[in-house]
Amino acid sequence: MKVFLLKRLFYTVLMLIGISIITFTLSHVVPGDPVLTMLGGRGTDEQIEKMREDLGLNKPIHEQYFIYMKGLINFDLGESIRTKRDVTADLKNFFPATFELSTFAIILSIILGIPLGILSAVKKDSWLDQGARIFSLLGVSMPVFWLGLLLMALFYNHLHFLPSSGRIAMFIMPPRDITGLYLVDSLITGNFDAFWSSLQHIILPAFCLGYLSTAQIARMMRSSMLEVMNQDYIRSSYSFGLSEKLIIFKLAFKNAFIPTLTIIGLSYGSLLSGAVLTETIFSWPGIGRYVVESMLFLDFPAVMGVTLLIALVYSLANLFVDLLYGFFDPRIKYDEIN
Amino acid sequence: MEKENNLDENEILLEVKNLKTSFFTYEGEVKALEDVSFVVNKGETLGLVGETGSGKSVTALSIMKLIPDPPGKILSGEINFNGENLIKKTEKEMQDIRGNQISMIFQDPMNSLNPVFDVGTQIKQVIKKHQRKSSRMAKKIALEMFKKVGLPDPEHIMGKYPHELSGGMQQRVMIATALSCHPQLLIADEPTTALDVTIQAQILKLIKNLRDEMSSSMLLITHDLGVVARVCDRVAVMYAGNIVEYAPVKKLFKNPSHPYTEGLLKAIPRRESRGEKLKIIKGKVPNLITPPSGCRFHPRCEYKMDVCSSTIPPRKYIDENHYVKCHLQF
Amino acid sequence: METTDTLIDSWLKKHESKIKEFKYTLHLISKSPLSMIGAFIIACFLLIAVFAPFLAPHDPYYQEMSARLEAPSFQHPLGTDDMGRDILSRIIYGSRISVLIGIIVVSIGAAIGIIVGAVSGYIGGAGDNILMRIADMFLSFPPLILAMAIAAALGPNLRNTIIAIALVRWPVYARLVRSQVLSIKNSQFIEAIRSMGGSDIRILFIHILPNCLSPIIVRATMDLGTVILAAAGLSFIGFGAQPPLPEWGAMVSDGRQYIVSEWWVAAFPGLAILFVVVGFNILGDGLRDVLDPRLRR
Repeated sequence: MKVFLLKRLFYTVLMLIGISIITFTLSHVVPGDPVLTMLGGRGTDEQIEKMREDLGLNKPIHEQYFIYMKGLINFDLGESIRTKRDVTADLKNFFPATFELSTFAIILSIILGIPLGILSAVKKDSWLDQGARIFSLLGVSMPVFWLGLLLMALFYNHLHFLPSSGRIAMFIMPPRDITGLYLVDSLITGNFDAFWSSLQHIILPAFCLGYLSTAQIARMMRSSMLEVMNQDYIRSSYSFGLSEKLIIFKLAFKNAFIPTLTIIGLSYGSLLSGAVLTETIFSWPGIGRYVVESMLFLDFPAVMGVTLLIALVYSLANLFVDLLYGFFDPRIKYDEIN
Repeated sequence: MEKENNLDENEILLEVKNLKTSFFTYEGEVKALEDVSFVVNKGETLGLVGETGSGKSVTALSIMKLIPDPPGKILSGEINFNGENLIKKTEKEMQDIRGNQISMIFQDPMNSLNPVFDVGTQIKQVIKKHQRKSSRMAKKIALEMFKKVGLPDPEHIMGKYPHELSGGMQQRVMIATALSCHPQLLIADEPTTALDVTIQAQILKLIKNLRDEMSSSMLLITHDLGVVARVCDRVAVMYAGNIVEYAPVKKLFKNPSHPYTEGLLKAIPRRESRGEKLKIIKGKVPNLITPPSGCRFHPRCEYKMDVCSSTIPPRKYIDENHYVKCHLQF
Repeated sequence: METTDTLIDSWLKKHESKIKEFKYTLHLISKSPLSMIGAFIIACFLLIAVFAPFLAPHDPYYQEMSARLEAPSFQHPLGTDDMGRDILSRIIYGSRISVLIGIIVVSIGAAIGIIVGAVSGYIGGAGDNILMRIADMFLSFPPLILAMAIAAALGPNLRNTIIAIALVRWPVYARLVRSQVLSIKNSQFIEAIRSMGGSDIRILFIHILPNCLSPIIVRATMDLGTVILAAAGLSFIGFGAQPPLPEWGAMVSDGRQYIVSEWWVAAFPGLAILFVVVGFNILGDGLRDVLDPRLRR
């Protein structure tokens, strides 16, 4: 177990280094020049030269990289070209919103996707199954940005039912910052107005963002449930007279859930990066919107910061999933993986 | 000798009458069981023998009403258990019978146990279901059963997962679970086939002893006539979805009346015939979508007559306990 | 005549099992209504792309300022956008862009992936380890952000969109092919060929890769949908195809501000994306059900 954890952490670090190299290289083959962008395309040669020096852009690329990595060890991601603030501070500012949105979305997908997949498998070929399969098919095929627009138009503009953008209503003070997650903070502080408003604000973007993973989870759950129900041990459970309810929801479920768990881990990663589109549409003040704006300014310190953070969270989520395996599947022996 | 005397007096536990089961697949209707009839008396063991694909397991699953539907379906016949027709029972009523009055053990113990639950949980839930016992009582019964089937250190085994046990131990767990509610009928579907040869005899002996001890009846499915000779009171020989001969074991071995039975017996290696070439039955099991007309065995039969390919042979009772489905007997 | 007949007969006999298998596959495909619907959608989509100039009622770039944001009518079946361009015609022409992106990206991605995966699986050992670590790295890179970064760095246009998405997609194929190669590599029939002196390259290309074909086809079919979605997403946030190209995602983005009253500007291009992606997904699902030996019966 210890060996496994160490190995995984080692790979995570290796991966982060690789990702930083890719992004760093990208940022330096840019035909577009951030300095020019910052100066608005104007500026004398001296001004440009001075700025380059300030930003350390005139040193050879590998030197720049080592300077960057040295900073990284101290959680210093450099300064954003666009906001002129420390990238670390910006991330601290924007990440909780994204974390709240994607975590809410994955919880929503699990709550919706798993029962849907099970029912679909148990009532195979019934109208319920057909309906669930069409729902999932649309989910994996849906352009999220388009769905977001339609939902917003429907619920906000026509039904006046849900708010369209932001994390909380303008006239409500956000809860005191404890975790940075409005839903959690407002509950802790007992601020139910803030909680209700945040909930109303998160529901549309979370559904929009989580629809894809709901669909993926439901599809995986259905197919692995169907496979498990055909296994000998399920037949022997029937032969012992156990009730169908027990067999489906406990005995088969635990087996079928294992492959679904993988999908959940992978989904969480794609949620974080899918947040880019959702946050843009719903004006959600998270790192997705932050990274889009940074890209437009060729603000590569900020882009690198976001990329590394998302990759880190993604691998931590998958490590967590791998650890959960052990709970569901007794056959797993961690130290034999890889 | 004592056994043979019992035969006539015994009460009937299970009576299968004209059972017909089919599977409806892409290629067509697989007529897996054409006309299966036999009786299992209380306290007796009936051996069901035949080649792979002859319909032994389908017979067992039909009795349990566990034929996967679709594609399978029991088309007609009766399965009378304690005088009640199981075919008429609802799924809910069957659940109270399965594992409680009729239990089954399967060929492949590795795949018959749920891989993600410890074996203690698996046996306890069966006991809880049928005996309405508390968890503590269920555990006590489970431990007793584990001891009975010869598992060493039952307390320790309870917490083990199937993959941590050997094949023989897995099968012992299955047997313990199947017998935990003292069923009147135990169906054992080739219970030793998947095990090491050295373990096979042990497991067989265990099943036989436990059956005697609990005075249950047993339907033992096997392709090994040697096993039948050691364990069974009566034997039903299956071929291509039919029982072609049904007789007390000794009579069958002494006086096989169906050419197929005869062929099977000749294919057993014997001490007397050492050095001789073993006889085999030519040909192979027919395709059950388009089974041979008349007697399904006629294409492989040494004594084939004209009538064999045109008419299905009826049951001919040689005596009360012995019937054959063969035109030679008329 | 007789000899040809016997030749045909003997050929039929020799390949009897394969022919039976093939017939069965066809039967399964025709029996699966889903894959038929998928195939139908994709066929329509391809035909529209090929015959766009003949099908489009208007010039997709012609701006008719007097007819801005017109609701669907007989003249403009799907309405006009904020520059007075006919939306139906733009969608019809836009299908060409989506086909192009889809096919090129999947071909590049699959080609890189197949080579890397095959080599990796076949050589094994340290080389395998390194290649797979690289693939893992690309897999754990947030895909949309990598694509955005590439597009931002190289400049947002169609070609860079293609490069960006292909760079994100290849590891999927590499993993798939590697696992297939690993499972086939040690099978007895490859062992037999090797013992008869087959060379590595020959074994890999003649014997192993064809056996990986059906999962690759299934994967690629589904991937076409994913790629089209990704490209549309990139264009939507401004890192893909640039105006005035009638790219569907960009069109949705154009219609964004009008979604409340002039909903058709954004709604129809999005619907087109949804349709095509659904088509590829159900075709992929259907093919998987048919080609996967575990699901066949």
